[in-house]
Amino acid sequence: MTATAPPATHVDIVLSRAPRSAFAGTGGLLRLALRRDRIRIPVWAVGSALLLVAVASSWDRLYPTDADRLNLAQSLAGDPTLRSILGPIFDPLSTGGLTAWRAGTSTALVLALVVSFLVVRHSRADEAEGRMELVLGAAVGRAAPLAAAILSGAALLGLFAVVAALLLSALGLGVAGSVALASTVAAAALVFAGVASLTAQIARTSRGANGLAGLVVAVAFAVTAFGNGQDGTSPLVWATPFGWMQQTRAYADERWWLIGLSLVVAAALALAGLHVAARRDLGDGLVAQRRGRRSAPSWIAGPVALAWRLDRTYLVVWLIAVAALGALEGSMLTTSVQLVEGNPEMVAILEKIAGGPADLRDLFLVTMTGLFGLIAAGFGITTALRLRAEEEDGRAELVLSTARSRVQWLLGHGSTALVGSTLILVVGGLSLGAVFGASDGDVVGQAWRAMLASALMAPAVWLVVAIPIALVGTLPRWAAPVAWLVLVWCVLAGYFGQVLGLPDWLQQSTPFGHVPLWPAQPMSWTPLVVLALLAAAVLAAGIAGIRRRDLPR
Amino acid sequence: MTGPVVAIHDLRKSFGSTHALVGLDLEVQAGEVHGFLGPNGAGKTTTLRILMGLLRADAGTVSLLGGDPWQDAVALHSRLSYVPGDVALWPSLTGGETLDILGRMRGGDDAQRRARLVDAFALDPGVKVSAYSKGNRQKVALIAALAADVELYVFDEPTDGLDPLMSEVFRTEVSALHRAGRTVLLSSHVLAEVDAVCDRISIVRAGRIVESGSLAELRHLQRMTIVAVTGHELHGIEDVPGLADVSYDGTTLRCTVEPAHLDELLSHLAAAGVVSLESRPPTLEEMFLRYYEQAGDGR
Repeated sequence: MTATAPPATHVDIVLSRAPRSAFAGTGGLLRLALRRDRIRIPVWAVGSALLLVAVASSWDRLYPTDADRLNLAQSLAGDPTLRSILGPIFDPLSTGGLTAWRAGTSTALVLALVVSFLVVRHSRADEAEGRMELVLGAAVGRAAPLAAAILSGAALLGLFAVVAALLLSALGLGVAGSVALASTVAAAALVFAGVASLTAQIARTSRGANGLAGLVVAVAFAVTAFGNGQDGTSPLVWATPFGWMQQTRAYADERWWLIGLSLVVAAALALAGLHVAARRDLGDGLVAQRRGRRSAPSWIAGPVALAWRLDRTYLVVWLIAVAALGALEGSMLTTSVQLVEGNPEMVAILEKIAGGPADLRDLFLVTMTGLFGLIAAGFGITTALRLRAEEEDGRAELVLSTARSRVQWLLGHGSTALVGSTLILVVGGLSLGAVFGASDGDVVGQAWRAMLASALMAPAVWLVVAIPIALVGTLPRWAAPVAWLVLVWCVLAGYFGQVLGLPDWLQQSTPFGHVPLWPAQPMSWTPLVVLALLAAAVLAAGIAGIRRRDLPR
Repeated sequence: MTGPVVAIHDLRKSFGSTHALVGLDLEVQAGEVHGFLGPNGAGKTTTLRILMGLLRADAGTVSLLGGDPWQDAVALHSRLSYVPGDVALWPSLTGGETLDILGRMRGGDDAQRRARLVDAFALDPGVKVSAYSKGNRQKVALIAALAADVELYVFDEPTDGLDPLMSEVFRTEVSALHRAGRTVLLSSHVLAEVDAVCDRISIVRAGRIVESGSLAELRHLQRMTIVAVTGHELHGIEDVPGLADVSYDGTTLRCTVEPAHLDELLSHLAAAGVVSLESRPPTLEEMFLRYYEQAGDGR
């Protein structure tokens, strides 16, 4: 996992025109990065490894016999939706093969995002906030901060690979397969650390660098998903690190060389990033700094309007992403329905998720829209937490010294978080329904149904998003950790609950667990009203809190 | 407007086990430029944040423009403008957009006045904040505050990051506010700046005011520096009370003397035949350092 850290001589050959001193101080900066993230790195590395292990240990209980597993493979492998997202099953009979199929891609996806944000955090974020100027003033080379950032990402992935390989082997899944799965997931994620080392050179802000890196991850994932969804073997499955990860065939006659391919591409990208970093000016980016308008439009006269101005680009990016995802899901829905219609086993699984028999198309509709709820919550939480950043950076102090109230300030990013997440639900549903309806012959009708099905999650999303807003008002230091914990809980209980064998009550303990699965199931207003009232109560507590507390705190 | 613009009595504020303010008193009268002096950590920013209604006082009374800064924050803020100690702006907005938005949130500012300030401070308003230097970000906050026509201006370390030329522009603007009868509360540790623009000062140390008054008054209370050359040798100089820092080489005497004992020193000098005499009131810096040296107790 240290492919990005070849001996200094290799680096110097590639960066022949960069002086060796460009890397001076890398070791010290790496220790600083590991010190700053002494909690973050182990939590993500070990947490991701434990998720793999939890999935691996569930199969013997859920599908004990070969017949069970063949059945599962037949019913699931035929479903293009699942095949797109999770990739192909290479060995349905071994626990290892099932684990690699069910959890490999999601783990690689999560680690790819975690590690690219980590690289940006220790390179562009430090630079944009002026900390790097302090560092470069010492005897530190221009490429050293980025080298240390990449190495800290490699350290996270290395730790993950070692822990995951040891634990999976300890479960008796086979040492070769376990090592292959752990290292191919880590190697695929490392490619995106390399991508982030480049985006951190392109964008001038950490937000921009994170956004670009996230976009590359999303596009790579979508390309692989599209390739997997095609009948037969599409060359697209060989196009991205996610495909290389899946095609490594862990536990099923491993193709080790694909791990090497990921490592080589990761090293090449990292060296390209270092090459730029060693040559450009501090604070500069490849994207030219544009001049802006000299005056603000007259509608921006308060914290709420200001928050909409600041958050609109971010919201538009999320809306485009969710529309694309909805279209992808919508295009697969018809094929899924056709394939499953003749397969009573699969129908039974879907009906179990929906809690009763229903029309197949509606079953798929509620299953697919479920993802929009988590996406909307993710947008809402990140946006609500901007309130905390405004306070910590000191911009809240400036706003609150004007003739605008604390409540208005809280409802600035608070309103973009709540309304924006609702828009995400609506747009995701509309896009899914419209694309599905185009093949079904009823664009307007299906778009309307899917939009409603998706929008039914709004009260649950409001409750999840109201939590960080309320915490900013009352216990600001807890806002970020609690908000992310709630989202992780929603994902684990709702998305992995069945695989992990969580009891039903725990699976349904999240706000999303109470949303009626209309149109697959009858409509029920009570849980929606209760969720909305809870969200309002949580928000009211935040508003009461912000009027009382010291700010900044 | 009757009564002082700012009246703080026995103000206390703690953060956990840290006692930031321990009985602070401060009065700022209408029309004065009041310097609020003290080193880092003395409690200046905490006091100003309480005045802005950002922090809530633990105990004591605080009156701002006749109102309660915590209860009436929004109404009071349309009558004042404030530059915080750590100026942070929105990186994705331009300087011009920031000025527009802050002006409107404060309740509207004078476009002509702002244009004149943008010119005086040589700010390019079409550039994004993320591309500004620290000094330019500071200028945006200063212009936003100065462009408002209000009763009270509160500045926390306003020239931090400005070059000397721009600091001079700031002093000119504050003097203009003074002439127009506005009230200014200026927290600073740039003593030359305070000396140049303030007519009254308060010195804060470890959470309470240790001295307050006009600069002239304070100087009169302080030791003067004396350099005297006498024709004959001085005798009995050690018997004069209130002398310090004495050095005497047989002809030239250098010392500092308490104002109350100046008379006795002068009669001694006269007896020895004064050839030349220089007397100098203490500089603000000397006064300031003395307050902090006196307090050997530390904080």
